[in-house]
Amino acid sequence: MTLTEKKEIIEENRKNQMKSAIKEDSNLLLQVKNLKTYFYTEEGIVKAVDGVSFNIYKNEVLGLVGETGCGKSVTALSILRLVRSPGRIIEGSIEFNNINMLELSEEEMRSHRGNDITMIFQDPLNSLNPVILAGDQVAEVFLLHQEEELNKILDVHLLERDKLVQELKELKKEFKENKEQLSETEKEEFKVKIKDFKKKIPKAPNLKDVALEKAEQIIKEVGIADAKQILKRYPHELSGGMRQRIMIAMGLSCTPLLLIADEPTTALDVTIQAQILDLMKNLQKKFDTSILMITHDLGIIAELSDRVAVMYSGNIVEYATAEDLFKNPRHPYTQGLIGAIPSVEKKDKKLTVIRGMVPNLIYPPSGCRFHPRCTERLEICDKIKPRFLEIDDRYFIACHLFDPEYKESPKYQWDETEIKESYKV
Amino acid sequence: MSLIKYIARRFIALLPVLFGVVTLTFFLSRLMPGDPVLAFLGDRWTTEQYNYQLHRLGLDKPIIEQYVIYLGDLFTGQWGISVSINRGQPVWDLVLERFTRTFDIAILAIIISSIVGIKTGIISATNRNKPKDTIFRGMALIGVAIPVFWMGMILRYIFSYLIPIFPGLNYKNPGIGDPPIITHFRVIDSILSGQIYLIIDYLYHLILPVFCLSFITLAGVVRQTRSSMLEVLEQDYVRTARAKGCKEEDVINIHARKNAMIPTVTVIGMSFGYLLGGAILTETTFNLNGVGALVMIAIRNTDYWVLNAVVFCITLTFVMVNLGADLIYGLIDPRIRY
Repeated sequence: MTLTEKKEIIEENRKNQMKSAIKEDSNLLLQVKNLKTYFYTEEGIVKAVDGVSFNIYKNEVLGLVGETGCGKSVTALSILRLVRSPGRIIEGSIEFNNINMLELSEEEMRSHRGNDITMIFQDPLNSLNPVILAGDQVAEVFLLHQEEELNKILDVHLLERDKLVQELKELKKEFKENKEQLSETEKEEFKVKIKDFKKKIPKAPNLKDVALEKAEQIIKEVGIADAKQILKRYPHELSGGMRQRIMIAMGLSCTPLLLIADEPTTALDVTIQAQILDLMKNLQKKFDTSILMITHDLGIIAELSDRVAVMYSGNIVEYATAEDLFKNPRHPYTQGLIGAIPSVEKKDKKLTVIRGMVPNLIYPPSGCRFHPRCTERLEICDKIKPRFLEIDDRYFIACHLFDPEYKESPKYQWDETEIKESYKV
Repeated sequence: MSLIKYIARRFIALLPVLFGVVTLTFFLSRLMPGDPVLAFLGDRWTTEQYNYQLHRLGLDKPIIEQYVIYLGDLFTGQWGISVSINRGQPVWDLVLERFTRTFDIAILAIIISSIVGIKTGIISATNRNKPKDTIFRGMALIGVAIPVFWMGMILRYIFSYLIPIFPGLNYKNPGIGDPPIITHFRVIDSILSGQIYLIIDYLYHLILPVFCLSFITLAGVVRQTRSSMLEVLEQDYVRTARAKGCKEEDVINIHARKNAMIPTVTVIGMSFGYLLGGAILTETTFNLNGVGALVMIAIRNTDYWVLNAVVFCITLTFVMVNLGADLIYGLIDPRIRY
């Protein structure tokens, strides 16, 4: 191989890389940059989300993991701009299909919600309105976002019906014209014919009927066999799994570009969990939807996600492809999380424990928020907030251990009593 | 079908309540000091006359026997004869004529305070801690703090004396006449006899008393609606509705209101009792000639028959209104199935 040939190959490789980079960019669906959502409570400002950045690409499943109260759900709600007072998005940008969501009017935002960005919530019992029929709740989404399509379908239905009505009229006319020539029995037969024909003509449908028809289809799609029956049930008459299926049906009814699933399986038992996850996997492929999967279950993340973002106390601390992250977790927090998963291989070993508690978000620890619980802590950790660095190809981490600038910083010596203290709950 | 069964079951459950009230009022009224025979006879009487009346009124029988007779008469409408007011008039006619008027203002007041209260409560909840909310809550608080009779007098002073736009006394214009008595309900009787002008006149006279009376329950309804609405607005399903892209008004009117109504309906049913008490005061203030004045005279004269009849009517109304509340409850909330 000559040198020029080699150069050519290198050149081509670089071109390919460039191409894929560009392709990736055009595939970008959602870009969250430095998002800060604070809650202004009477006790103080709760910094629930404090500078979170991540991307979601088309057809990708991004897993967002973290302990309870680390700001996962608030991040999700911020994307839909559903954070309720006293919470407020104070900084950052959320670009969805190159539109900055934070600059849209409430009216414009509404046309996105439930249409191209949808959300599935944690507790399917409380997430469905208890006094409204399941079918009506699903149909509502169509009525809200697909009125034009519904009208088209409705027109077709009405045309069909008009045809039938016309035929009936002609039949009646025929009867009147031939009345005198017909015998009594023939007359009776004719009358019965007209009556039967009348029964054939359906009631004039309205927009809601069409929406319910579509709701029935989508409910079938999520694996409920007797969809027609389910339409007329109230949420409390359905099982937990069915309710979550209805929620998913609602979420997918307008074939969204992004589906945010906020712990969709937490309230369900294990078998139903597996079913729901399978369903989501299949539907994701079928509808070409990106999913933001929020959970604290690493198993779900490993199974579903292409990429994972680990959140701790309002920050993303590690963000990488699922493969890299599970094979070789680098952030001490992620290491702790993965080390805490019980497994058959580790049966003789003790599970690792992340000592201490989730910090108070009103007065978060200085510097790196994880430093009071970190075994690898450096001297610098409580003084300077770590940067969010790309240390490898698409491998982001926020930790001083991997920041070349602080390579020199000495390791922090934990006090024995301090360690003992922090194991207490 | 199940609805009919439910109503029937609820109805049967009411019977012990009614029976208890009837029994209690019967024996309690017998404990009142005073003698109805004396009230009937006036100042001059002989022992013979006394004994004759005692026998005629059935008071010489043992009390248990009197009680059994009373229970029987209750169902046949033979509620006895008044010994104090319009002496000799059947209690049935006397009480019904007066009670329907009290009933009218109480029902009108509960309807108005429910409609206004729910509306105000929802506005209060959606404008939480904003000026509108503060004003509405303040007004409701004032409404509940002012005693009804005093409020009645103030209303009369302002709206029929200073600015004479409403009649301040009585339930009809003098000389306008009465509809023929068919059901004892003035509105229904007027409709049946086709005298619509009587209804207009009647309702016109009821404006001030009903307004005054509706304030009693208004505050409770506003508060309950507000607090349950605030609670519902924090629920997950309201968040789901928002995430679907519902308009804020649809979120409130379709998704939240029905849920928030469930506790409010119960409060309305329960507060109807207060309202009946207030109605007796209000009709005295406005001189409506209702059941209130009747009861006062009956108590003063130990008129057992009138007293028991009035208490029975009031209990029946209260219990029926609460049955209605239960039915509405079932209509709103599908989780309550009969």
